[in-house]
Amino acid sequence: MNIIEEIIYPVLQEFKEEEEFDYELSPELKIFGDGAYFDSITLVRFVIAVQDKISELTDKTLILATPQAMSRSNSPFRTVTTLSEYIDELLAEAK
Amino acid sequence: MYAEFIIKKMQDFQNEDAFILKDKVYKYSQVLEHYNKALQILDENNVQNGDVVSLEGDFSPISTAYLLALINKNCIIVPLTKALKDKKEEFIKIAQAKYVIVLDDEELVSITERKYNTSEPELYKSLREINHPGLILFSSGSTGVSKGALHDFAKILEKFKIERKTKRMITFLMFDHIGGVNTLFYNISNGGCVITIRDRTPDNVLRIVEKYKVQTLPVSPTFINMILLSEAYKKYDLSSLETVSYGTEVMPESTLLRFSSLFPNIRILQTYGLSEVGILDTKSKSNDSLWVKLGGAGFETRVRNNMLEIKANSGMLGYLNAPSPYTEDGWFMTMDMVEQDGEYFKILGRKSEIINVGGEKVYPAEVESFFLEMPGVEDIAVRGEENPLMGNIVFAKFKISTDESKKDFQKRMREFAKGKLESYKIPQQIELVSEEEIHSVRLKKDRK
Repeated sequence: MNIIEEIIYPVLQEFKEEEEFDYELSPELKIFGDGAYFDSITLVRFVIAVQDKISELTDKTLILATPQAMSRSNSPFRTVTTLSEYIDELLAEAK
Repeated sequence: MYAEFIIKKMQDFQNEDAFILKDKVYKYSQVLEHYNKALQILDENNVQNGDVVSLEGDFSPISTAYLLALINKNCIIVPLTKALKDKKEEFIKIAQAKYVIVLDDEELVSITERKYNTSEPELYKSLREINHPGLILFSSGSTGVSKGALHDFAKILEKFKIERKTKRMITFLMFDHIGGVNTLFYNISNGGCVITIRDRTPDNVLRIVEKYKVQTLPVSPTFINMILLSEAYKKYDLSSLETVSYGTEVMPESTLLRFSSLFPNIRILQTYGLSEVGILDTKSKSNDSLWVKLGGAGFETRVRNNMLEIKANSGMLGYLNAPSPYTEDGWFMTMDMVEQDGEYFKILGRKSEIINVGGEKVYPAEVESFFLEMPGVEDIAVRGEENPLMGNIVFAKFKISTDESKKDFQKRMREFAKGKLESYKIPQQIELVSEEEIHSVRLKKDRK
């Protein structure tokens, strides 16, 4: 499964249309942090929407924002690429 | 002249930095200039001893000057900020402010007189009899109507007569909040510097810490999460930081451990305060402990039914528009569930339906009544759901009469609320349910 194309991009596209963000979808797009578009509430909503998308496509219920995720020295929510790697890791663990 | 001791102290600190606002530095001498002018303008407008006056402004030399001038005229002050939007009028009416003062960052915008057909709150009498200034702080009530807590300002100021160390301190709270009032007076009575920030992204806040060598930074646990997730802490020199204080919501242990291991030299301090009783002195057991000693001069604590109760010398006189929250023997019921271990407390959160979203309070009843007005919504039940990023989020179960998908409904729901309901109050997670299910949710709620 292509996590970026099938899970992350569709959710980012929905948020772009609804909130009128002017970002371009790319693997380098920053999700949270300096130069990113989301504030904390939008990040929370985005994480839930990504979780919903994952369960819709894979029948797996993943929790992305966990204390463990927050304790990593590199945040999984920096960019589209880091998030996709993180989801990949969690999906592998959930098998 | 209950603020006179502060005016005298400010004269000693004339050349020190008092405020940093929008990256501009202001000295104490500028606060004093504004103060003298404010006294003159209040006189010209015939503002009298004991009058109720609302004061709208941000932390700035001019707003501080007006605040001090109104205290010295023994007025009853209703601090307001622009961020309150349409709540401002509600507060002015509840308090029956005779004068409405509006300031911007540098100057007086307007001062207008109001008249009311109804009689003033009874509580004002007790302050006027002893000729003390008053302070009214509002907190949101469970039914959506705000409650005004009246304080004796002279009592609040008493503790600032004790000299403390000066600090360069960032504040996110404004002076319409007990924490903001506390920060302001702590600083101006010790020659400290208050730094206010409009753009509160982790990056900008930490940039300011580096640029102005900030020593004290108050945060919410959610903000610490955001600092960690944004990795902003990796980009700036934070070596000036001595103390990080947190409050307003329950701190997850994992967040505290992570932060204290990243910054072993920063003292991490839990704060505890309520607009009704003031700010208590606190001492955390250690940097990575959630156990905290509460109290200090003028405060007593006790636990009844697992809930914390506080007796405060400087507590409010009462609400202007709600029944007394004190027990018969004069203790304030905080409704905060606590564990106790000797002198230490662990705060577990509010025993109520209030949802704390990143430090912001959300009342389920307010969200429910708002969305019952939305076309196609037959019923709604709102509750909080734990969330590792923001403590809690708003979760809503909707019974709808349309055949929309969850996604389509969610989109329409957000459009309906946009601009009318604060974004943290708009349900971040929803579920569409049947009639039976929503009834069972309600029954469970009622039994609580």
